[in-house]
Amino acid sequence: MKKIQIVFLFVLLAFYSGVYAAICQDYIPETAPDSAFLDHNNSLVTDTRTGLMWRKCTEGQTDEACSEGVRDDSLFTWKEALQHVKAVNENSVDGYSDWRLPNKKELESIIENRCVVPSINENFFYLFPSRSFYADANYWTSTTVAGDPAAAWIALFQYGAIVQGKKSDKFFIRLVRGGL
Amino acid sequence: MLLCVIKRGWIVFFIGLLSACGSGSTESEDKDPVTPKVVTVTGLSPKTVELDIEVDFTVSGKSLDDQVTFEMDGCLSPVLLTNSETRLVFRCTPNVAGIQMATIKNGDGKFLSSYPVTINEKVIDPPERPSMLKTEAKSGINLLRWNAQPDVTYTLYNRLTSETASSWKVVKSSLTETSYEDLIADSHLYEYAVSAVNSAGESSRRLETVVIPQLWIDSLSKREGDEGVTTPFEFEVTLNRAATQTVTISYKTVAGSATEDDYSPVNSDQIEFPVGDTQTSFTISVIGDANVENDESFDIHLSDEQNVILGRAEVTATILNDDEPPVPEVNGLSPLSVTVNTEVDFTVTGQFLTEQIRLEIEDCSSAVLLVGGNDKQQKFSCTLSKTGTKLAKVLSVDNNVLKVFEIEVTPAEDIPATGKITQPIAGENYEGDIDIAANAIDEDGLKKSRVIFRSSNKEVILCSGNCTGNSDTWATKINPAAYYDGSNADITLELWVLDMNDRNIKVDEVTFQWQPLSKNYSLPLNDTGVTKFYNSENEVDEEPLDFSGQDASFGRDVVAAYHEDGHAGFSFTKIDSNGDDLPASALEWSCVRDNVTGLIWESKTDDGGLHDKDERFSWWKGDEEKGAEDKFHECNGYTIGVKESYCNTEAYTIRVNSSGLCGLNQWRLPMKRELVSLINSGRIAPAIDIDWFPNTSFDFYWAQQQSSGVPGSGWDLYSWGVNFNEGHVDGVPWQEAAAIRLVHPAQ
Repeated sequence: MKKIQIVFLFVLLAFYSGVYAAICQDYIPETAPDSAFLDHNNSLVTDTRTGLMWRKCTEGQTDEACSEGVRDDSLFTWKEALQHVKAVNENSVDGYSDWRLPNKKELESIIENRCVVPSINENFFYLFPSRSFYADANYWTSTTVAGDPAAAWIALFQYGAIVQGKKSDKFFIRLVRGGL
Repeated sequence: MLLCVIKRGWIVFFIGLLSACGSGSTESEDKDPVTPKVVTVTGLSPKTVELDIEVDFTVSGKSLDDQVTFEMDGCLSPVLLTNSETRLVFRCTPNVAGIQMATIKNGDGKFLSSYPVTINEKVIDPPERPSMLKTEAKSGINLLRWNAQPDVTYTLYNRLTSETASSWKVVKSSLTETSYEDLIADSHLYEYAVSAVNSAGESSRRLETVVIPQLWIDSLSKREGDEGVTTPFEFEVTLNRAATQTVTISYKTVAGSATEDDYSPVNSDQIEFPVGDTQTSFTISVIGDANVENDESFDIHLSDEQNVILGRAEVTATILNDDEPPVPEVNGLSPLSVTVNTEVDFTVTGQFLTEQIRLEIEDCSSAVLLVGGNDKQQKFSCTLSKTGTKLAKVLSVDNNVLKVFEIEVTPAEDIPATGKITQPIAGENYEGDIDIAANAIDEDGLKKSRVIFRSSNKEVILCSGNCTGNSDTWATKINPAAYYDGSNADITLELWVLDMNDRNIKVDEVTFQWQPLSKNYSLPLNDTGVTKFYNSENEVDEEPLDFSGQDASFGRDVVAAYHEDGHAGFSFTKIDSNGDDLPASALEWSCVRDNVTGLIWESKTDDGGLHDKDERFSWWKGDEEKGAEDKFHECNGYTIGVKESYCNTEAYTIRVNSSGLCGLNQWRLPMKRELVSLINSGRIAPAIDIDWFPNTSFDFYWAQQQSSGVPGSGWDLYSWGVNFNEGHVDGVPWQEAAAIRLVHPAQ
């Protein structure tokens, strides 16, 4: 799939206008429509289809509007990611202490496949501002790759794929709770 | 001795006498020339001094001379100021506190005497408490002034007067000015106190308390009085506490519905509360008339407040009309003949009618007053439900019957229209536009003014204005998405006819099921199948403390791990070719239902047939002319030019549906998310539970959605796929060879 990503990057460079807006195609069905989400009008949103409650901010975004935060401080190895979640729960962030790293299917469930750069519903979910067309908008899942325990699955919100990431590499985190 | 002192005092002026006195001394020495001079010290003062304060120590004694020394710890380099036989003065600044010994020695270093000297630390008294000199208040700012003292700073305190039991809060400390403007964000009342502070401490406070009261004025309602008579409207103005300064305030009248003919206006006048007073009043004169009129009003505005906060800045004075209104007279009611079950506007005519009169008609539970009436006529709306003669009463506001009428309610002669929605509609889960058609007939042969389709949240006007004839049919195209209310998959279309009698009549109704495609994404999560724990490198037996919270700790894999129906948290049911459920132990099955998502999945085979695991296809969507339609890959029965045999996703889907796999015929390509739901991330090669999904290729399987991308960019020539070797999800070019596992919506 390396080939696909290279082609895709070329496509973005050729057509992306640089204006900050996701590229969406109306002929592709929405997979994370506004109607699916219950906005708690704070830092939380619930996906009514799965019952999962999500933090709107990427971890490391410090303010209510998810507009501040240091990108480099918000990147975690897989181990750091799990430890970050533990620390968050010890502090009962947003009133809950059962936050967790989403698993592969949970994180996939909020990908918006109608759109790229990024493939997420930006009304409810905040990324760090675009860098290289969201090429680093990669988020950890809690799911280890069964065939390679030194890797775990990551979601690429640049265009919606789910691929393997080395656990020693650093990626972003979005927290989830509830569901089932 | 005295004599000699006096003599010595004259030395400066009468130098000639020096020898006389000197010779006298010499004379006495001469008398006892062998007696040695003995230096004696008899006293030292002061013995109590202050640290770091320059002090003159006086050593008294006999035969003193300038060879005598004065030593004391903390007294550096004492300077001899005065030198006489009886008195030596040393000046120094003690810089060590405590009791120090002052030692006096003679010129030979011989000890003469010592005295303890107490060196006290500087004693500074706390400052005097300052007095509050002046306070001023206006809305939002309290200005405090107090008297000045040297070498102090001030601390200003306040508290709410309503909380006198509470502690004072510091408004500002370390103030060097003797005034402060305290900005007040609310309209509460505050007391203030000020203290002075120096290094010795803080003076007492609460010396002066400032009360800035709140001022209230009451609104007033009063009868206007007889024509030409002036009625005083006295407005009470109160302070909620007595002020500590004189309170002044200006007031003026502002015309409302009352004009300046009705009262004597005041442009600006002032009232004052002497210190201690809490109540006063002022008077506005109201001039009476004989007009029957509504109550009128004017306003009082307060401003320019001094030393007070306005609790209420504006009030309204209401001049009550005391001239009696005339009794309403009812002359007529129309219509007196109406059609049953038809909404009718009744008109009551007469004089002095008000909106408070009521119309009561038998069999009409509540006649509704319509707006826009006047004293000559008022209108009421009512629908009479029974035929016959009905009594109609017009009532006054006091329930007095003003007049009674009889109304004839006649049967409807008109025959309602009929109609039918003649061309329904798509079945379940239909996507896209659908055609509907209808006809409506008014059997009176009257023209239909309007025909509409109406659903719960939208209506479509099929025909309006010139709908002629009695056998018209209409057709239109609707998009069900516009009718979908998001909660109920049933869409009901109603056909309504608005006939020439202005009756809205529903003549037909059709209910059908429809769901937008996005609704398919309300897909319950069936968990990942991961039951093992890992660290950064390896699988481990149990969850390491520093890797807590990983996948295997949560979800159905933990709480619903019944392996009889599938690995970990998965729950599957085998289905035979007729669509009937099979026990888990069945050895042959055609489809599998995921009991969590509800989706039914095609089983793949290894028999060279339609469902063979080795068949490969390109991705093609005919209605949008997207994808790669023809001959990129071999598959069973391919024939050049015969589209039904092509090896693309759409042709394959049609073939499976026409075969009626598991008795079902709505097979389709799975959405990306549906395909992801099948991934078992606890397994590889393939990443799926092969006990339920044998014959799974280690390859990409097609999803229904195209990749999103800029048209013409190349990226839009991909669709999504899931690779069941390890379970990764990515775009696949349309012409690539990928496998298919079709899905069927939940039954």
